Amino acid sequence: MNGDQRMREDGMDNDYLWDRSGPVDLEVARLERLLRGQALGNAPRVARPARVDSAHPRRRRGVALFAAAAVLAMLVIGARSWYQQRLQWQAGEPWQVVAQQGDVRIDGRAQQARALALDGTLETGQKAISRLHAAGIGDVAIGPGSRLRLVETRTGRHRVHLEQGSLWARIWAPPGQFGVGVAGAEVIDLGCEFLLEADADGNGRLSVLSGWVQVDNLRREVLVPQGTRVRIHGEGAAGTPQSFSANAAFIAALDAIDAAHGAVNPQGEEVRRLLAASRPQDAISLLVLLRDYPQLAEGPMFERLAQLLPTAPAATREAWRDDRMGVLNRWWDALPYPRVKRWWTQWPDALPARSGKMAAWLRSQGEG
Amino acid sequence: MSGDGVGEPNPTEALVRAARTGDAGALDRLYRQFAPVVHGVLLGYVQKADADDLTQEVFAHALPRLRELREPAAFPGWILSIARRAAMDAKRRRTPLTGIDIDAVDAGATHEERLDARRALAAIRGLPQAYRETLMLRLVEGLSGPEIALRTGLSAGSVRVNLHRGMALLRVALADGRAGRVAR
Repeated sequence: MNGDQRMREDGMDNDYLWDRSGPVDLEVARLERLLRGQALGNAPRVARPARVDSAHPRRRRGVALFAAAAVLAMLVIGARSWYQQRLQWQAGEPWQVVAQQGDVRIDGRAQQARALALDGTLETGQKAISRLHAAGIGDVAIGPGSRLRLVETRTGRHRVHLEQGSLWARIWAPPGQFGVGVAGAEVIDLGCEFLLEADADGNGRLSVLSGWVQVDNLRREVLVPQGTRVRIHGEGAAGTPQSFSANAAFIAALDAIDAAHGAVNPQGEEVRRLLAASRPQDAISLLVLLRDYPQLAEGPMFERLAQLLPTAPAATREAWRDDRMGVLNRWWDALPYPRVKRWWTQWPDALPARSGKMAAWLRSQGEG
Repeated sequence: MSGDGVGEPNPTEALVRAARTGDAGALDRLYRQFAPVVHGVLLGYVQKADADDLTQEVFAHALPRLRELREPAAFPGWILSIARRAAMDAKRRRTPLTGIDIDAVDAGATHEERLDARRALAAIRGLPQAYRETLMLRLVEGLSGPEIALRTGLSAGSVRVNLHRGMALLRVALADGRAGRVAR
């Protein structure tokens, strides 16, 4: 075998693969066509526009480059300084009270409160409400009959403890910077807006309006996406997230399974009722159940979730047995929610104009 | 994109020097030339939507630190090492909740083509790093061999070897996959 033959067998003379010269390698060309949608800047789901010839392509390209460069530079500088300013917070610096109504006390003293200091406790009486800036990363509104303590505040970490009552948080910051403790659990913001209601024993519920929230009480860690709520229990594990629009039959069956900590017959009545009432928006509930109670996959819940969240390759029982985490991850990837890593895409939460829901909630609480 | 800078003296060093002075045009050209390379490397580790995000993060991290780069000509290797670290961090941080995977295939593609695209991508991701990255840049980002060499800092010979050996392995992997599906 001479060198030329060896080169050809190795495919080293494939000039199409090297620089698209020479005869077209059909497999390479097919792969190029299949994969071009994955390239940077390619908008998926949209056909590529036809190329339009220009009378002055060089000039247009130069202008476009200059404009793009200028915009890029301004965006980088502006966003960077705004971002850093927003996240910086001196350790222990009090939180500013920006509005209040009714009987609001800080550390037991009735006063026109202006700030909540570290370790300070803010209390609201019946029909009283208060609103604070959560350091520089968002706003927190406190409903009537609440007790809130500022536990920790510094750049990168802000924690309050809701001893009882209700709290509406609207945060725009990287995941984990803001958290709320309740009796027996911790609620961690992952870049979002949420309403937390809890009694002194830590029983209550969490409703997520945008982004994701994590609930962790050492018994169960639950990730709660926007448009869903979850029950929390001071003495027990958190419940399973359920869609705001979940129907009564679904909720009842879910509660029964949660009450048994998933120890129900995978083919049994509770599962059958749950699946019969399930709709596409309930996929998050089924997925969390299968993640935490994998024995339920022995029943029809597996097929129902595979139907609600189609993946490629398709989820099969064989794949589940061989690589359960792989199947779960593909299902998670198929959920129709924003990504936690993309917390910054919730940037409207940083705008005062988006505080309408919180203001409406405060008004309803103050009037109640 | 094809043809940018190919056959001309390596412009990277001058571009980096200009970018260090805050020249917005140079920063823009640096981004335009190297973003596809960074994206292609990231795509070897994470799905497209994450690679899109991480590409921005890599440049947001790297561009303000251009002055820390001792040798401007080493920019390709430097930015790619940042990209690989970002990809590994992303994989380590991975929590199973990252949302919908955008089906990044042309709207006109058939169901079979979409599946084939996913299989091909999975097969490329299963290759050794050198082959994986080179094939991503060639088949996904659309760079030619000489462009890959210019923008990764690798020699043209290394890129050629990586392309051809990688493609040979990819053909085998795809053929095995087809045979497996037929057998089932």
